[in-house]
Amino acid sequence: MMDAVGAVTQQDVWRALAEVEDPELPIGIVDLGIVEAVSMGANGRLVVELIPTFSGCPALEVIRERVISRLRELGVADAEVRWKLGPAWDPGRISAAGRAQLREHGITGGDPAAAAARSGARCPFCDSDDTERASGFGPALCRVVYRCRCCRNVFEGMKRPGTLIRLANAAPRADQ
Amino acid sequence: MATQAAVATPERTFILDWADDAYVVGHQLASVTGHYGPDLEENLALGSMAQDHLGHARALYRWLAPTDEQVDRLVFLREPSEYRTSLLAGAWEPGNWAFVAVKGLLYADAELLRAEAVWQGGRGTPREFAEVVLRDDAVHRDHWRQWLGLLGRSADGTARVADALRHLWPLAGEFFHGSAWREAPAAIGGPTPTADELRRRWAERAGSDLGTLGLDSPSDADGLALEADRLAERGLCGRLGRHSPELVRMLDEAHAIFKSDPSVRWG
Repeated sequence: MMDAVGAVTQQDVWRALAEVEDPELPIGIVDLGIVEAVSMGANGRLVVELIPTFSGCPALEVIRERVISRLRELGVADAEVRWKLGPAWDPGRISAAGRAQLREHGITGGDPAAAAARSGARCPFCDSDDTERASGFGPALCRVVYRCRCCRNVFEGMKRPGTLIRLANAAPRADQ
Repeated sequence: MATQAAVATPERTFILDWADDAYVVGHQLASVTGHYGPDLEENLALGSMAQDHLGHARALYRWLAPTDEQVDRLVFLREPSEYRTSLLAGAWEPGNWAFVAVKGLLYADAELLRAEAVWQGGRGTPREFAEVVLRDDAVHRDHWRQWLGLLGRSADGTARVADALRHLWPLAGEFFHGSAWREAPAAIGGPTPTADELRRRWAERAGSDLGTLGLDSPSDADGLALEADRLAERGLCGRLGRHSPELVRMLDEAHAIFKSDPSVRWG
């Protein structure tokens, strides 16, 4: 576990990472839940491990550059971003603050209260849960499109895992 | 070439099979995104599915090659005969929507079975990555099921779907072909379902998908094994690099720019 790079502490690094915005969402990468770990490599290099929301996300390279450049501002000259292959990201990883920010921009995601809604989404405009999924594919890989039956608005939601993976998760693990 | 020598273990062969399938399917869907779907929503769907497949391929190639430059070389500098893309993944008739939809569903069923095999017995990174594929391809499967349901509403659509099925179904036996399937899931921590067992599971699952849409399976698992043999006799075995002329053309075209100048960078 890392203690400090020079005068920079683990806490400084996390604080700096929290300021790195996702290029396609109005939210920081820590709030989005994609920062998995910050550690010190054997060679004195700071390693930031991230998981992609979706592996085909075209923003991975931009995020990598933003992280490296923000850490450089902090005084960390030697940093590496590693994109992990898993686990699968899901909107439950978004922080409460992140969810509120997304809602302000008309995007719903990871809202536990919306689980009761049949479509699983709460309208960010009128707060109704009388919503339906209009399309499983939205303007970005991580989003789907909903329609609100109450205020008639169309809105975006973060894509949630489908039925199959939820069934799979309920099965016993081979390594337990 | 050097990349081949590096991929000789069952684990690496299994991952390369997986990557080469995802890469080709992603490339096919990406090549028609924007001018193909009957409406905007379908173009978003095609583009999203293409991105999912290409994202999986990128992750899998990265698993085999430690740097981005080596990933590029693995993808762009191998000859088509060094690609291990299955016949099912390679099948492509872009002007035939029923074909695209049937292929989408049959491929999703095969891909989900592969990921489940890794997920059920694997641990660590293989298991975590399988979870990503299960999450993404379940959405694709739903999407193609919806399309087949729509196509099945008319006699013309039903006939086109049946036609595509006759062509595509027999290719699936080869998807589970080869020693990689027998040895690799063990190498990455998973169980070792035999090719016969996987064909049985696939025929059952794809058959049940078709059944709920009122369509009959062209054959059972034994029939699939026989078809794989017949295709091999005709010189077609994707896992051994024996591809259709169409796939060879597609790979040649996709790699032409990089080969003309390997130092080229986008943007």
